[in-house]
Amino acid sequence: MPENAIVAENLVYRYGDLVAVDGISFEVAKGEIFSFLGPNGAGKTTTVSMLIGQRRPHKGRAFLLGKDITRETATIQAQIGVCFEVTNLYEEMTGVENLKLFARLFGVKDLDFNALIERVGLAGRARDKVSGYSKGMKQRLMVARSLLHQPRILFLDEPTEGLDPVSAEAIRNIILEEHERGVTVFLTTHDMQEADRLSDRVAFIDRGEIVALDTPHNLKQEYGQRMVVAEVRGAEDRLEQREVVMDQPDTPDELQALFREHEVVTIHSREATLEDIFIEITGRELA
Amino acid sequence: MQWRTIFPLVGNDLIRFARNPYFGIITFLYLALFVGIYLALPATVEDHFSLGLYAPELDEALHQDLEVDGLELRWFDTEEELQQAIQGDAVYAGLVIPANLLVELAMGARPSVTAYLPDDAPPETAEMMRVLVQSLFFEMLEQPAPIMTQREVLGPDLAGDPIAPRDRMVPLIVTIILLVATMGQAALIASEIETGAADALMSTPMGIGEFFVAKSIGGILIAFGQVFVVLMIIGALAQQTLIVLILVLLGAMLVIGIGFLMAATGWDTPTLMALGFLIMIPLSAPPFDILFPGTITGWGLLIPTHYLSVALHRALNLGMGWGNVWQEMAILLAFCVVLGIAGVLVLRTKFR
Repeated sequence: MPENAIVAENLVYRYGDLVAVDGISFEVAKGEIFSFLGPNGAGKTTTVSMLIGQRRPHKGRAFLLGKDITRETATIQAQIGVCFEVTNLYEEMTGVENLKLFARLFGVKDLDFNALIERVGLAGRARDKVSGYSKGMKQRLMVARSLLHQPRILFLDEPTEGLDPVSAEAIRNIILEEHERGVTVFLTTHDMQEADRLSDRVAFIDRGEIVALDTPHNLKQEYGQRMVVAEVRGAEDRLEQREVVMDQPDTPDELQALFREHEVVTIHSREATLEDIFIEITGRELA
Repeated sequence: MQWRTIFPLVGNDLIRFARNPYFGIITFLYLALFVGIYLALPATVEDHFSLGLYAPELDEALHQDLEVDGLELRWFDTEEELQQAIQGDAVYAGLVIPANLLVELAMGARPSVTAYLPDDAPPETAEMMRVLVQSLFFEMLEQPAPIMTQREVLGPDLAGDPIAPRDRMVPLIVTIILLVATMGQAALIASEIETGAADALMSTPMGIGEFFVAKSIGGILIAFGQVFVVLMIIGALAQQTLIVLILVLLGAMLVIGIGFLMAATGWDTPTLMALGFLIMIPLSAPPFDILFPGTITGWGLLIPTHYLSVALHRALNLGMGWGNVWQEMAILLAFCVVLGIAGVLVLRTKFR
């Protein structure tokens, strides 16, 4: 059994009467990319806040790298990197000044800032004030800030939300690079395609509870339906879509009927997406 | 306490303060405030005069004869109590009428009464007291009385060496600079909380304790540093240097607590500046009283900057030493502690 980087045991957090996180438990292995998926308000960010030591759970415990986060907060925080959902940089400072401040807070002395800045695609803008950066540039700087002390666990809270495709792809590549370096990545997102592509395992969280947790492949196997989707020519020459669910006893007959009764223009197979599965499990959409 | 996490944040605060566009125009704003307050003040010095009296045997007669509009009388049981009341600003001036005064008058002697004046009383006050005594006994005896009025100043007598108005203004300048500095510090902290930068700091090994220590050091450096430079430029550190510097340090500590309370509102910089000006008005009243004696009365004792202003005035303008300022220093320190604790507790609630 792989050694765990994160262990959450029955975590509970309330905002007054509202239970934001309702007794969730899970484990994340070292070196794993673990995605936390759910709609806004599901409890993702609150869970991250507890795991990084910013909120004290009202119930339950969380262990990072074998240590209780509520007891050894500073020790653990020295080994984790956090990229927040909101842009929380010092806007009146330059990019490199932001990085230097946090490098000193983490006690990092021999950091090649230029290499780090280049890695996140901000070369040439490092000496500019952050207030002049685009959202994508700010997000990349926050990712750089979370990496500067070479953390063993990386928490990324909606790192690509609202970004242009180039910036989003740059951040996804950095996540994969860190994964190859052996870093454990805890990713919260409601971008199912991103989670599907990057994650070793995903957990669906809804109304503060984990409703499913497995590899994307296994979730699709368990909850998803494989389909054949065909475009056929219908009345007045219009194209219409027909779907046949696979792996059912009458699938062969339905496929034969499709070809027999229609002029099939295009046909392809389609696997269930994580979003389909989330809707299947919770009855809710992600957005 | 991890000091390696504190100093980078202090340095960061100093840079952010210097780069904040709002504080560049603050100077002009508080100069405008000076003008506004000056115009709002009465054109006359004082139309309500609080006089302390120690007059054994004459109390009853004086009670009837001294009912004059604008004259507030307080009676004291001993001469020492009267002197303490004047020095503690409970009454403005005092009059001691000896017990045997009427007997001496009847015997044809020229008795004298003692008029106690505060050290910062303008010269005309002594003459006013003499006229008051003459009027009082004229009313009582229905004829002019040959009574001498001996003037006695409590503290150094500055009648021949008056303090220049600009020197009287120094406590006001110090107070305003400290308050403007704390507005800046409050705005910086509020923006850190508002933008979530404070959350980013709290995700590092820096703890909440280090955060508050860093903010306190940064705020004190900003406030103390500005006052120090100004005092250096105007040459105000020539006498009682250590006392003055300690007082300014206490003043900087005092405004840090106020700054934390302001920052806890979470308001943006312009709104915090507006709040700062509101707070500045009452806190500036005591130093105005140094500039224009008699501006405020006993309620000024409730304002923490009263103790800063009085002690600064005594040290800077009167050259007084520790013996004349330690009480004010102690009270100022107590205010620093109370406001500091209140500020930390309130601002602490803004963190998760």
